[in-house]
Amino acid sequence: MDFNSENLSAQFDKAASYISGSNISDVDTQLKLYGFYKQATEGVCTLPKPPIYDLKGRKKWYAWSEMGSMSKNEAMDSYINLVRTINPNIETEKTGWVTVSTFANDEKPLSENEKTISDWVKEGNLNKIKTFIGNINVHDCMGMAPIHWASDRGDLDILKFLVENHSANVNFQDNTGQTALHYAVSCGHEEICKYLVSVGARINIQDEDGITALEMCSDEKLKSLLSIN
Amino acid sequence: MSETPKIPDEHQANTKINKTKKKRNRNRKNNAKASAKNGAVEETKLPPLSIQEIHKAMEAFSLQHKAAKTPEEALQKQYRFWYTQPVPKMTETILNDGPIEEDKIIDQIRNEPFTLPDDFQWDTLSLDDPFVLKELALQPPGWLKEWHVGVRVIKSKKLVGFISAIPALLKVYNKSQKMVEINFLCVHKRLRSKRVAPVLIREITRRVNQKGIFQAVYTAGIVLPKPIGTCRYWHRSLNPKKLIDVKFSHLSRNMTMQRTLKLHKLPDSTRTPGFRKLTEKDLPQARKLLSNYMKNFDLSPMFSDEEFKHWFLPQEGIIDAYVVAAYSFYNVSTKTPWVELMQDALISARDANFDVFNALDLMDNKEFLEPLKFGVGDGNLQYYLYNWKCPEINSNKIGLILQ
Repeated sequence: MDFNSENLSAQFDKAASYISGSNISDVDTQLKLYGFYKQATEGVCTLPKPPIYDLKGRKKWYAWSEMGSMSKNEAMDSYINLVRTINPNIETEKTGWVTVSTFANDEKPLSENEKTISDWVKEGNLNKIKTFIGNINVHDCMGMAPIHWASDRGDLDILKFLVENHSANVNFQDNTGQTALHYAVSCGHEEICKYLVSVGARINIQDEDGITALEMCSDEKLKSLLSIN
Repeated sequence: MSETPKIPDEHQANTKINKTKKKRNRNRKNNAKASAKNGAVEETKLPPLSIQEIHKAMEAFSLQHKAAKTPEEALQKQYRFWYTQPVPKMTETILNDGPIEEDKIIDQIRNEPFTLPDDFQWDTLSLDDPFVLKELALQPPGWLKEWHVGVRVIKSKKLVGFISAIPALLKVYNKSQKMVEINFLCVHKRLRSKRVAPVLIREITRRVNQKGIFQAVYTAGIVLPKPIGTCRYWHRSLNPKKLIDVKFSHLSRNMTMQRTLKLHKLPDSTRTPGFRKLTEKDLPQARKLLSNYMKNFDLSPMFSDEEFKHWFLPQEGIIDAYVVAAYSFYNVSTKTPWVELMQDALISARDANFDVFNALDLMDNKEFLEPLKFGVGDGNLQYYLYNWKCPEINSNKIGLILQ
């Protein structure tokens, strides 16, 4: 086994042991986990379809068969990602006698029903964002809109989704006058800058201090990227 | 006190043991099932256990098998190996200092190596490979080849375990004592929970004893019997974006990346006048400065001229020692304020492309940790002495850093 796949399978084991000790009430999630797990551990499903009266068995069989020819590594990866949406902290939980100190995190995780669309954007949870109904161009308790968080976090998939499926206004300003482009520029997120400009983000909107995204930019490469468009 | 490791893009492989217990939940389920069955019988022989009691029992069971992270957890543990060794019990309060058992005479020291499980063999490592970091850490003045102890699989020759000792003169409170520093204990993942670490420790002890040394100093992230002191890790982000990407760091709920980057931005260049790298000429004076400063601490190394040169003269990519006189592991400040000096150390580390600057809260480090935006870590480093007991030492009185 090479280093990467060893690392992957260690993560997979960790995720699987977390799931075996938790109660997942959502049946769809259960089935998805089941499908990825079987594919990851046994590969492509070759079992015959269970008889029609075995409802549960058939559901499980479908969940596994739907994986098609997905590779074991890919399935492990998907499994881990799905578990992460249930508990984002599973990797950082430390056991054993070798420990590497990292930044302490004392923040209590929010429960799902306390989360707002901004929280989903911050944690990169596209599935939840897809369920959102309402106006996306409004300030949250931090005075920012989802598009600012997506840009700040550098999450291109979510940013695209907000713009293309939720009509997020790319020039919307937060309560300090910053646009999504201000955030992307100051964080050095090149891809985000490119995308924002391509969908009509203006480089000369001033924030409350009179600073534009272009002026915020100290990186020459990024600057030329903004000016070209 | 501090080191500045680069965080690799991928999660770093950990060659040491990492144990997890998976059976806990399965056992709990079985217990629950068993008591449900009993409930159907009219008369049960045993009083039924409440869920809470089962839970408690399982917790206690798992605590015994998990590495202890706190002294409270350590009290639950049996320490099958450590309680056979000359170390204090967890519950012991120590008032005076000195050896726990007498030095052995040569006849009392086992002559042949300890027995390894079948299929494994002892090996001393030849460090002539380009393992520069290890060379530096493992070959200070007085190093011995037989103190670089490896375990190999006989068939494949694969290295699956390692432990090392280097000689050092230590000051503990008012006594100076010849010891070894034990470090780099590694056991391959596949050998976890096979009790290989105790064999490695016994073997290095035997080899060190054979050279007439009976005391050792070592550190660990976990609690064993019994720490002489506990330090906390602190981290200073130099490259916050990458640290967040690799999950070494995190953004709290209401924090933006924008603000985090701004907060951790350092000045473009160092500020202390005369801040420069250490050269050979500075060595005698720098050593005097350090040894004077070390008098403030209850646990510290006593470097010879030769040792000082080994540990402090800069070598590209490993040690960066700076005069005036900051260094990523021992810092002394007389004229320049701590914060200013250490800020320069941070700037130098950033310019050398390090992603994070780590420090412990020992010596006078508390002076600069918070002002320089170090964040507290989630790990402790415990200090231990082998065959030497002494009262506990506060982290600000610890003046020893192992590699």
